[in-house]
Amino acid sequence: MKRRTFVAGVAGTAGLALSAAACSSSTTTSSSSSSAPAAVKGGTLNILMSTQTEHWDPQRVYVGVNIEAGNRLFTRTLTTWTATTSDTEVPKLVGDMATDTGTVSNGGKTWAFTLKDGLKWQDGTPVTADDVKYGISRTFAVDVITGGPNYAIAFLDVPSDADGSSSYKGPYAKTGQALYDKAVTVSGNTITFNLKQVVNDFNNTVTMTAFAAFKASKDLGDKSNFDIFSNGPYQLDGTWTAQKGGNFVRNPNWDQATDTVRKAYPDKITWDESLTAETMYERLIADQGSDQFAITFDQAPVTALSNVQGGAAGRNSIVASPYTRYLTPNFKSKVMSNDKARQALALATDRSAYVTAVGGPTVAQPTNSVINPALPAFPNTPLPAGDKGDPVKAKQMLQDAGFTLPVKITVAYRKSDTYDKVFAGLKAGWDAGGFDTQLDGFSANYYATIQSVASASKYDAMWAGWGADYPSASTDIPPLFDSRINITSGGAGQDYGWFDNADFNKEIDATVLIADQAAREKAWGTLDTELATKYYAVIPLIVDKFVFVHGSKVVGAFVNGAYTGYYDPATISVKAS
Amino acid sequence: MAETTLEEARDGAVAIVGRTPWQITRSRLLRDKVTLIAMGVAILFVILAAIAPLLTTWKLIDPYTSHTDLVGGLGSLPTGNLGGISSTHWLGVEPGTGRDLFSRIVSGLTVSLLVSVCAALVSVTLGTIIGIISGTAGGRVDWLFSRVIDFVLSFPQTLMLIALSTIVIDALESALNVARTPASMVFMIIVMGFFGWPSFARIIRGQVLSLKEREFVEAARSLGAGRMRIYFKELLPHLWAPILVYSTLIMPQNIATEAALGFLGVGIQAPTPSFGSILNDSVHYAIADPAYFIFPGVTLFLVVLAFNLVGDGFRDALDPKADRQ
Repeated sequence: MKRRTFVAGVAGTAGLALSAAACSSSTTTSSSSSSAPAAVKGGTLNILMSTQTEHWDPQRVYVGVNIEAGNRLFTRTLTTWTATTSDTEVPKLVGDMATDTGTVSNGGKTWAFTLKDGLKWQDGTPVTADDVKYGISRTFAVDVITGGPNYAIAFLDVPSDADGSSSYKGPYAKTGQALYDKAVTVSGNTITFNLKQVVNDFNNTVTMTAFAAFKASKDLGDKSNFDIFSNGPYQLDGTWTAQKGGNFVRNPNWDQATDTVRKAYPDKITWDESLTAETMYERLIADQGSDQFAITFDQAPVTALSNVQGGAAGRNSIVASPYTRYLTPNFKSKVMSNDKARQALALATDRSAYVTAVGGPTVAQPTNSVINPALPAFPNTPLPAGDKGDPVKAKQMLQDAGFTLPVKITVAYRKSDTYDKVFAGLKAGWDAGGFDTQLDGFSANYYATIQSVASASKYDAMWAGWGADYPSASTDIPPLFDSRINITSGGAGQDYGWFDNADFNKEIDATVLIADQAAREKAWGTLDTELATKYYAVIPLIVDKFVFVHGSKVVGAFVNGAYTGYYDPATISVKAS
Repeated sequence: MAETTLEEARDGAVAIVGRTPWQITRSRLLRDKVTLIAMGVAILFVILAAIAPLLTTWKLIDPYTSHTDLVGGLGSLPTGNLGGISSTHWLGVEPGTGRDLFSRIVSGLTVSLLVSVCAALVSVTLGTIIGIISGTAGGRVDWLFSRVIDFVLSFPQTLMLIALSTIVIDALESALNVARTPASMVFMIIVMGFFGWPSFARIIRGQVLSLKEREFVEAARSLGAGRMRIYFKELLPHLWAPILVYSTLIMPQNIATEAALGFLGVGIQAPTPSFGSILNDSVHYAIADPAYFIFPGVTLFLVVLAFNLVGDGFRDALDPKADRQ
């Protein structure tokens, strides 16, 4: 199901208190709204990138950057989050293509959205409720439309086959089309969703571009991956070149009157994703020529951090990221299937080395919760033994449990220059705690590798990262630790450590049914604490901050932390010269 | 041994003394100040590399312990001047972890030199054997070996290394049942050794072509000496000069190749320090923490330069007629 580390939005209603506090202690001046010049239409905004886009097909987008940029430039959704006027403001959920944030009935099992009038595709044809229905149906074609979130399959009331897959096979095979037509009905401008279960925040779910419209006559399946067919303010000028980028110009058929979120100030937007992070940030900090009109969705590499505050004063943002980085002990490993070994590993974990290696306390904080502090469910579980851990106690624990020291373990992590240092520091702590740590860092197909069956017998612990898809811990705990939806014959899913506990799964089921939202979120927090301190199924490590820099002639570049954690292009404008 | 000039000899002040080729070589070497200095530096590096594991065991150097108190600020750069130079950290510390840079460079020297020496041994051994066989045998055998040499020489070495690295290192890891670092060291040795031998085999073959026509070889053959005896007892002793020169000249080439490949992310990887893995990380700090970039870079430069000068010096001393271009 869902996807991990780069993933989408988070946060929301409660508590960005942490990021607010952290920001006041550092920089985050961007351009304060009072002194900033008024936004003007026109000019060219340059988007510089060092990570390559894998998909622009709305049903296949699951990376935060592409959710943010896609939604703001060319893929409108039924509901969306408003743009913000500061890095810490919490956005509101509003109707985007829909007139409002939806009507719920049947006790939370039926949701209806009515489309606004005047919505058009870039060729001038109207966007209909049937286009939305068709778009969502594409998610069911799991053999073609890969990469995107599977919320549609999980939530819509379409029966499952014996093997657990949906009985509806998508709009290409058309098997089970009648079942889908029953779950999603269209009447005039209104689209109605019948759900399997109560989903009280389904109007948050549809902010994801996976629930966007797709014009059936433009659908070429996998070939449509980069065919951007716009219903937003910008359309592609020419074609998109994978690994390089493309240029966007105004979509003449987009009507500002139908859109309360996007201001669409620049006339043109260029997207260059052929850069390296280091050169890109050198250029942004140097602020010369066209780079003065540039933003990026890539965070500053650790090597550029020291120059961000001095070299780009007033042009940087340091904000809480929606992600938590954690380690999962592998329950299939001989060593880690022992409770005491997992507990000792948690005790010997030196989070301060992690924080230092990624750039210091300004950009990272130790945590012992999987749920991000920006979520209302954040339980703030205390660290087992402070920032540095307690290797002496860990060693004693291993000895008492009958292990012969040192205990040999192999740990997998996603390799980068920075993470080589992170894990050198963590290894030192673990080795002092009685382990003999072998590190295996690799970057190619990292997540596909650690969730494979082969890895279950190879690694004793694995690093991972996760951010909630929308501000509910129901997009944290079950996707990562419910063995029933994760573990298959093909691998561990997102439950990388093969944690499979019937008691815990029962607690998940009980939590889903709690009607009161606040009580439900609190219950997720309790489950999070149990994972870290009772089952030792996870060793949460740090929450980090995103650091961004923009050019000096960019106005209104604010990070929409609650939506995706990136600059929000909806309200960005550029100065005349 | 005293110098004997023609004048002195003519005057009868000193008797003419016959000298072996080694004595001539040594006297030429002793006159070459640059080579002597370079040799001193190279020997120093070799000794340092050889005793680095001992120094680590004795805790005199410590390439792995983090000192998070020595780095700070946004980006965790070393506190203090020139990358945090102090009496305990002679070349400062590594940004992000505070590990001692001097220790890491010295340990990196061990890994880099070990790989380079082993690779040089592989290519010199292969090159010598194949060169001798090809030169003496002649005919079809010679033709076959020469085509193999052409074939290997025309391979794009760096591209091959990058393309093969992941697969071969994985295979070595499971075949030898070792960790990633030793597996990638073996990979580098095999590949650098394999691509190093053909040019040397050509040199040896050329030497052998002229040597095998000499009287002593003919004499040995007519006395019924076996093929092996001719190869290794008659021919090999006359090939020590090119072997020595080539070995010293291929060393700096191997060191540089290892560094370049580590820099490209192939080969030996962090946390094992090597010139490649250190430079790969430090290049990103060229602006933020120049000292971290300069010290390993200068060390690599000195090592390569020293070995190159020694190799050149040997060549001049052993074969002064060689065209030096």
